[in-house]
Amino acid sequence: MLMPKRVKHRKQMRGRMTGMAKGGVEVTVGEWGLQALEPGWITSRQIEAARRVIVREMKRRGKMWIRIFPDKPITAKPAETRMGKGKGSVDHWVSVVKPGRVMFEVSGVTAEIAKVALGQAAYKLPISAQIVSKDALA
Amino acid sequence: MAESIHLDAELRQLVGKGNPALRRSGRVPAVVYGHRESPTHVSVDLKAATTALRRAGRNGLITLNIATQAEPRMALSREVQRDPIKRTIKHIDFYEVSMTEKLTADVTVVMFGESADIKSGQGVLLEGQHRLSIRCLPADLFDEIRVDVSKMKIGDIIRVKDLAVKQGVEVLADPDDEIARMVRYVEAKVEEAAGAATGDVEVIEKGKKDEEGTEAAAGKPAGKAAAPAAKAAAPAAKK
Repeated sequence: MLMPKRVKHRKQMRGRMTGMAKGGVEVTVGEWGLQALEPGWITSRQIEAARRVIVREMKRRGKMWIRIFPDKPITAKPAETRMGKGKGSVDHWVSVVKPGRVMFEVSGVTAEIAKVALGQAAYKLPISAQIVSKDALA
Repeated sequence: MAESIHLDAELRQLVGKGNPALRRSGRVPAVVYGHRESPTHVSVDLKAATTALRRAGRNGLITLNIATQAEPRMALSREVQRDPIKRTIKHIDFYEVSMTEKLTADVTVVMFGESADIKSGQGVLLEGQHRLSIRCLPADLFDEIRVDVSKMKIGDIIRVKDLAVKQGVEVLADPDDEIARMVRYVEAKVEEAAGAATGDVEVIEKGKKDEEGTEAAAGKPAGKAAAPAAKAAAPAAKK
């Protein structure tokens, strides 16, 4: 699963997810993309699940790109632990996604296959998303 | 040259924080810059601008009729800011051009046709450049260069020098740059994901990394794991 190789700080604060995405809102390299309509944290597991379903639906034809990277560490305390004793250990990694962000892109397959693949990938994500084409965003 | 596209504009006083109010009234803020001395702030009707931009495409000339100015201005839409989700126009940059001076613009490379090798599943078309810069007079501008790939076979390459562009248009790219290449289809090896979700991540700060590394290896996890175990053992002992 995706995670950084090295980080500057081991743990981060949660932060806020207000406003729209500032960059990554266009379909750049592919022909079809999956665009977020809500803000949310996308975990590396969810990215991997979406990637797998896209590859499976495209039957390993064409090409796909993951446009988000889980670079934010999320900490958690172990079960049945008393409060205190500092912040928990890093549990998983997430990518902060804001509305408008194009998360996945595909190309080299027909529009029907691309739509099915990205539609299936959207089911794996915790936020609502829409399928967009490169032409529609021009 | 394509049909002429006209767009009415008005000079605007609202700038910066006044723009949201302008947008709510159905108009789009825009700026005209280029050939004159200073940029001019204008506003255009949203519906008219959307239609004009759709008709003009990437490199279509637009005739801007500014309300208080006598002569129209010829312009290209350079940067169009849009709402990321609704795709409505938020701001337009109009680049004013002189019809007698050459300018640089980007055109899209469009491949059409399907070769026999792709139909049979043996070949894959690799597209090298999706966009090329050209230099020409505004009247000679066009949106896209169409490349026929239907006769390509495995191993064939189409380069910039093979493109057919009209007289007076200069392509600003290396003539040997690849536009398209047909290669044999090879099934990709998909690497299976391995490793835990958190794993070991190197922390850049020197010193701290070592300290944490030893801490994690020796004391902390063992201590935490031991605590619930001790808790579970306590009620059992009471019984």
